[in-house]
Amino acid sequence: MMHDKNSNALLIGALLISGLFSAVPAFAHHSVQAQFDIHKTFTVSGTVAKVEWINPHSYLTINVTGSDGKAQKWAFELGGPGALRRAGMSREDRGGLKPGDEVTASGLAAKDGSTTGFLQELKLADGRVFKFAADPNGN
Amino acid sequence: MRAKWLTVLVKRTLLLGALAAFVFQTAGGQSSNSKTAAAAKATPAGAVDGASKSGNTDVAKTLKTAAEALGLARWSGVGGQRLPEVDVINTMELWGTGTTYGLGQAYKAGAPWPAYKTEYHAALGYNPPAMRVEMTRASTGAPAPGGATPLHTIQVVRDHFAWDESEIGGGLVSGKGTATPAMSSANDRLLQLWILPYGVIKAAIAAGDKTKVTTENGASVITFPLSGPLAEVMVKATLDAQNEVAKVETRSDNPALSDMITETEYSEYADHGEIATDVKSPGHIVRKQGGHPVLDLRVKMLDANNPYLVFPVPENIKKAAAQ
Amino acid sequence: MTRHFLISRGFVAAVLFCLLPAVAFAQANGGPRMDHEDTLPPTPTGPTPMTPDGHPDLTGLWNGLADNLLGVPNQMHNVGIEVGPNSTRDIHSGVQIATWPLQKRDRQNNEQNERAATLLRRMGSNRPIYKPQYWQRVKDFDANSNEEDPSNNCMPAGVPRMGVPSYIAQTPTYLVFVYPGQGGLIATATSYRMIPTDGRKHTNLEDLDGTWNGESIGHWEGDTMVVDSIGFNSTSWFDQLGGYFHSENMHVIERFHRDGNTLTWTATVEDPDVLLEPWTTTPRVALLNPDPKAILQESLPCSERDFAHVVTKEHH
Repeated sequence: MMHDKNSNALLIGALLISGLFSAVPAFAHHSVQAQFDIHKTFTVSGTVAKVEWINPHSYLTINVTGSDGKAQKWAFELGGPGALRRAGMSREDRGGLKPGDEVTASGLAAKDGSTTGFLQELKLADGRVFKFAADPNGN
Repeated sequence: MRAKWLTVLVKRTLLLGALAAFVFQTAGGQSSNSKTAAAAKATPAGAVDGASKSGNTDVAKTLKTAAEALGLARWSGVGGQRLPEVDVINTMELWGTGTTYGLGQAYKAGAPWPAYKTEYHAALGYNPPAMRVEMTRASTGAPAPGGATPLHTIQVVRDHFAWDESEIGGGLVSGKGTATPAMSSANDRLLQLWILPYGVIKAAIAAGDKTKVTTENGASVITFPLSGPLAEVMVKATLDAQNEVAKVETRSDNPALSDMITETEYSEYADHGEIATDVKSPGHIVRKQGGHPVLDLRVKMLDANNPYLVFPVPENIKKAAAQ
Repeated sequence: MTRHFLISRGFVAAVLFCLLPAVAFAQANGGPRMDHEDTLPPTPTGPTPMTPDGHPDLTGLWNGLADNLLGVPNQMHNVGIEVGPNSTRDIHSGVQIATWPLQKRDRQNNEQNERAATLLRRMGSNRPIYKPQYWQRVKDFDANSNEEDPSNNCMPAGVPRMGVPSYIAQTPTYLVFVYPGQGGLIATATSYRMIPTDGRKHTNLEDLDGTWNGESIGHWEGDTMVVDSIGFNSTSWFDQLGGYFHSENMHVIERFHRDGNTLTWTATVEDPDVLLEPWTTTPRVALLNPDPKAILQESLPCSERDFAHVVTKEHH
């Protein structure tokens, strides 16, 4: 993959649009709406703690400093490993996420008030933006 | 005192024969779906049935709009597939409270029929067609003749079989309740299934070319015949401004079928499920039969998530029907 | 070329790319067909390979339509709902179901998709007939499946809930079935079964500890492989969804029939303790993976973290 400006623009464009319009199914094994408030989104910024590739959901855990200065761990679940793969983030050394990377994550808020969310958008320090169009129960 | 004429009418409906309601559903559905589908505009897939032209477009469009308003027509392409919308409704269970009236049981001719406070619980399905209505009634005090009216009844219909249960599922397992044949009530009970809003839409689609759409006082009106054992019943359904089925009237040109003359009003549509299903159901149901009120019901809850409801026919009922 | 031109080209390319997302993704990942225009069973093509001892060879990677529990189209196929381009049929009852071909890609939000999916998976007429004293229990299990589903928390699906194996290896004396871990309808770890076909008889039921997959033995009836299983726990459910519990006396008879590149599977569940009569699934037809070089990918490990946070009862 070339790294000049044009290709990056193409890549961002492709990923933005594919993320927005693609109805690619996300893997889910229960109703998202039983756990997350589909009408309530939130955003946190922090550093990547870990990325886990698991069934039924992959997880991105972010270390966030709360407004009280205390450390919090926010666990974002993704529809499935395919979402990260499609966003070109399947390998650390190939544009993927590494522990320590600075990110801003937006997603659906948990109904039980826990520090979890359903990831919808991820902004990286290098300017890349990834949208995850979850289509729960498509698979 | 039940009028003798009513008994004669009920017996005459049996002359319509043993065609099962499931035959009605199957036969009707097969002929109509391709036409309904084809009446829609050509799809990217390009499949259009040339036999249906614009004459059917209004009917197809009205039925589709009404089906979507009920939450009956739903896109099956969940997950990004290029699949069509389908009718997802099979089983439902509803609980309501209200008043039922003793049919034809006026103490004196011309007096209002006795009224009963009623807890109403119905389980139903369209594939196969079946309904189980459990009512618990308390008299409102109006004198009722002929002895005690049964206060707890469970009335079942499945295809062309009809029976009464002493308890839910009675008669299926030895020692657990009984099932009493009620074959002469089969058509009355089936009719209840098909005059519900979901039944109306399903039957209107199944009636294919026989379904017409007109406008009365600005409202869309759908008319069509039922089929199978109810083939001589015509249905007229009026939609409200939200395209919900607001009024359903049935009649028959056969004078022997005057008990098939019903008029039901449905209102206060909402999603009445414990969890949302996007299926809309009426919150208030008012029914008249032969011009007299028979039912006035407020729905407390309706489970429209295709719940597990089955209507197996007890062996003694099958035997009784075969005789 | 100007940057503007390249970017506009890029956007066009991106739009075109995203019109084939599922297919492109699936194929790029060696994964089987995920994009569906129908839920009709595949038509068999090609010869049925035979083994030297004169039986159809069931060996193959049978995930040509993805793992059989994955995706609403497969789940509808599993309950016997055949959606065609213009019509839909319930194959168990023969009833035609009203269908409206898609005119444009409708935008639905995720809530609407989930609610529709819950209904679509349950619209079939083929239901096991329990004894009336269990009707309420089945209904309650289904409605409360977030809590009650025994497969929750990465527990097995069991037999016959797992459905059709994704991979079969056939030798003269045994079959090996592999069911990759799933992350879709139910999240499960990988499972396997090793089924002797050497003519041995079952162990006495009293000597078997109940397990998720039971004890299976297989034998040929003509060209159909019949797998007979007993010795189940009473924990599992026996279909993809629905709260269909059973007793330890459940007896399952599966039938596998290969026709070219298709494999048809049915399972019959006998459990007179809880059912009024035996129940048989509608036939499920699996497709051989069209890539002859395809192999099973490693399943992701199963780690369930959601049920501790589920607040309301919306379920699959």
